[in-house]
Amino acid sequence: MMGIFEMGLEYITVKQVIMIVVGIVLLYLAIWKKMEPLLLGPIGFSAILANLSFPGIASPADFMELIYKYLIRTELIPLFIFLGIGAMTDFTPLIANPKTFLLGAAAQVGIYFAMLAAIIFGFNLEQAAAIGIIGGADGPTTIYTATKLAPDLLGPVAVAAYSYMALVPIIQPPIIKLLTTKKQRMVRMENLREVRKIEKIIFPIAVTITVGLIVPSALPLIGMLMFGNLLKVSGVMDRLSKSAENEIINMATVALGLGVGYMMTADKFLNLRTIEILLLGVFAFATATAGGVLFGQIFYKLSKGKINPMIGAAGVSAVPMSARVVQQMVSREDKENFLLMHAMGPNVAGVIGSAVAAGIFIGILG
Amino acid sequence: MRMNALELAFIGITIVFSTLSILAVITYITGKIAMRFGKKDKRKIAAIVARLHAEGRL
Repeated sequence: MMGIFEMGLEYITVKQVIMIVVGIVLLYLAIWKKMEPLLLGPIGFSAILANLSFPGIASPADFMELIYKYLIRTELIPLFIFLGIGAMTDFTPLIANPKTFLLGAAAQVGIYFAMLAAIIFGFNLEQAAAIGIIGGADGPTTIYTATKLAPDLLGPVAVAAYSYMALVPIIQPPIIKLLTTKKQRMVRMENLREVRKIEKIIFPIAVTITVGLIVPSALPLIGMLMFGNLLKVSGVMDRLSKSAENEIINMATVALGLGVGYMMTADKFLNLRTIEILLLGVFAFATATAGGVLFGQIFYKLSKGKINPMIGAAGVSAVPMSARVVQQMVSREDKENFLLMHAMGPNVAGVIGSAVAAGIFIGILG
Repeated sequence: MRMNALELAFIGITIVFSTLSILAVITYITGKIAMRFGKKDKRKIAAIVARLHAEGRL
């Protein structure tokens, strides 16, 4: 004891030390391995901060709690991030080839397989749904759903979602290779048609109205995504569009990192459940990829070999990572085959699909 | 009555597919209409250009 001055060293526990190491590992992955640095960086640092809280002496977790309580628990931050994503997303490949909507839907089966697996692991239905949504490969959607259905699991679910999104180039290729032949991987596709500006403007409005009528509980996510996109494609709201894709999403990302980090205290994170969630996360990504590719095989057959089934793998959403993985694999077989834009169709459809799936969970269980 | 996991999965997959299928159809129809009007615009422009050529004003 040092009189009126007390050291954190006197109070720190082994579990807190372990969590600080976890935070450092996340920072290592973000900074040196460049794995989703914009999210894993803030989450890693705030995990360190949250575990250096000593009640009665100093507690950075107090202000992080405010961020969590008022910005994440109220769902504001994931929605602002969706606004920014909308402003950054180009839906042109999907508008040009709307049947790829179905590939985006097919890849969502991973969500349901992972949910069923989570039930087998002993999670309740709400927790299983929050874990399953990791298969949607969409960070903000995952956080939004977990906050609503299983807030206690927010820390591990968010870490699993963002870590596996960064690991898409490692998780997807073996599954794609297993489910396609060399001949199929070499299929070249016709160029996409030109998309007129009016189509780009109608698209976000039509998607918002349609989703609002069918799955209203998905509307906060879809509405913000489409609003952000309308800002971009209208061509007359440049200031707002630029703010959404820069200042707003950047501020929201920092707040998200701090809020998720607040949920990564030793008592909430260091348990067997976290390991189970991490395992289920890989399973979710793998089954989502398989679902997309298998549906791609149906497209291949129906089109008499004109559609490369690999583009189905991009339906897991992880934009644009999974579309890039498809292009890299195609380039290995045929250097002059360019499928990136074709893969971007299911890729952005996957964003809509995972938000719809999240809305269904929230509508039924929330 | 509370839904079980299998029912939730079945309903979820069905709604996701239905919603995205409807969106695909709407996007396809919008595209068809937009392209048709686009072609008309192009034909009109081509006709004006041809007339101006014929009149020696271009």
